[in-house]
Amino acid sequence: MRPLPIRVRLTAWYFLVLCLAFGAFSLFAFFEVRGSIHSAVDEGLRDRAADIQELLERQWSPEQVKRELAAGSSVRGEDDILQIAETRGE
Amino acid sequence: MPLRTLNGQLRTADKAYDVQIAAPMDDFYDAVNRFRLVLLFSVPVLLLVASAGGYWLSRKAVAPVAEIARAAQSISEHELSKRLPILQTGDELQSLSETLNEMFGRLERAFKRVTQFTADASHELRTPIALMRTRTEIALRKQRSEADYRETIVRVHQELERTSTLIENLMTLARADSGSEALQVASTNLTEVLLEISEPARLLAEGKSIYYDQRLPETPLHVNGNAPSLRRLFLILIDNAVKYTPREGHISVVLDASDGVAVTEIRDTGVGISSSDLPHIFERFYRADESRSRESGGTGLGLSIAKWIAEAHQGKISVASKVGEGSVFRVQIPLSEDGR
Repeated sequence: MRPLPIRVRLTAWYFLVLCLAFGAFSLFAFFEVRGSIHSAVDEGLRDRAADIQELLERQWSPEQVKRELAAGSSVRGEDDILQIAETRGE
Repeated sequence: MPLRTLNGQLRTADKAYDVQIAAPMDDFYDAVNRFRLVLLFSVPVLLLVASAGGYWLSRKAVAPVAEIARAAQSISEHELSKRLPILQTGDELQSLSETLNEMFGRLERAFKRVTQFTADASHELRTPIALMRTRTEIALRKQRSEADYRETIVRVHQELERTSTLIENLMTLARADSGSEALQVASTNLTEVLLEISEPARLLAEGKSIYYDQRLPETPLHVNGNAPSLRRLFLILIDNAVKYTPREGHISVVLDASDGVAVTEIRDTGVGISSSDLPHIFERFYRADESRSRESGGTGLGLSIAKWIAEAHQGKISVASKVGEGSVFRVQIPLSEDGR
């Protein structure tokens, strides 16, 4: 079989290297973006937990806390779903 | 609705609470999915565009190779003087064109040498054969005496001997050119080689009433050499000196060593060589004087063979001469380790 011309072989190698580079970059970018979003959401949830802790320490009831958070006056994450229950057996 | 949750227990001074906070992720996942789609569609398009660009660039890069190939194809054995265009790119392609041009130059020189050699050899062989034919034709033209026939046969025999020597010399040079005439070298005492040839050299000189003497060192001088070839080299030079030295002349052979080189000089008081002929005398079939050379029976190849033998011993041969005063042929061959 006649070997492919150098031009075609060069392009094929170039295409292969580009495929690998773009593929690796795409995977890295996708997981990095998803990871960043998860980190940002987790950070928001931790901030919300800290706010709740602060309100509970002021002797607010869980219902008051929920209302306060739902009103969105002083805390972030208005759309968050929140459940607080006093731990039984303590 | 996709949620991301945080579960934990919060403690105050007197109570503990189980807390579960969840954040809706649909907007985020929509953004991530859009990003994924962008990647899925844009990356193949980018790849195709980049590959097409790469193909175009590679065509540009390889185009000079096609040009070199086209130019090389146009160089035939009849147009070896043609050269490839030198691409002033300063890269491998320029180097390739220059290297190929150098190779074409070497090929052209070799081709010319072979063509010249063939033409010279044909000419040299034609002359004695024409002479022999003429002599025999004249002899056969009518009835002659036994003495006449004998005379013709002697002349034809002389020409045959000369032709035989010429063919032998031609074969030696052809083998040297092809590289198949590799010399088997061993530690050789140059003093002994010159002593061995002193007898035939003296006979050659005495045949023309020429005074011959040798001045050789007491100690042996060893070179890495092939004794038969060295004998041939010195006999060629002595025979040459005898041919061009008139009667009552003088030929001397002097061997000495200096700076790790054995220097042999063959001096004669012969007719000498003109300065215009000096640069050419080692060329094949070169003759300063055609008629004189034929008279002396030379083939015009002796000095070429001598030069080849000297160079095959990593040595060199040179000549100094003055018309009417004589010539000095100098052969320099490196001494072997045990000869120093």
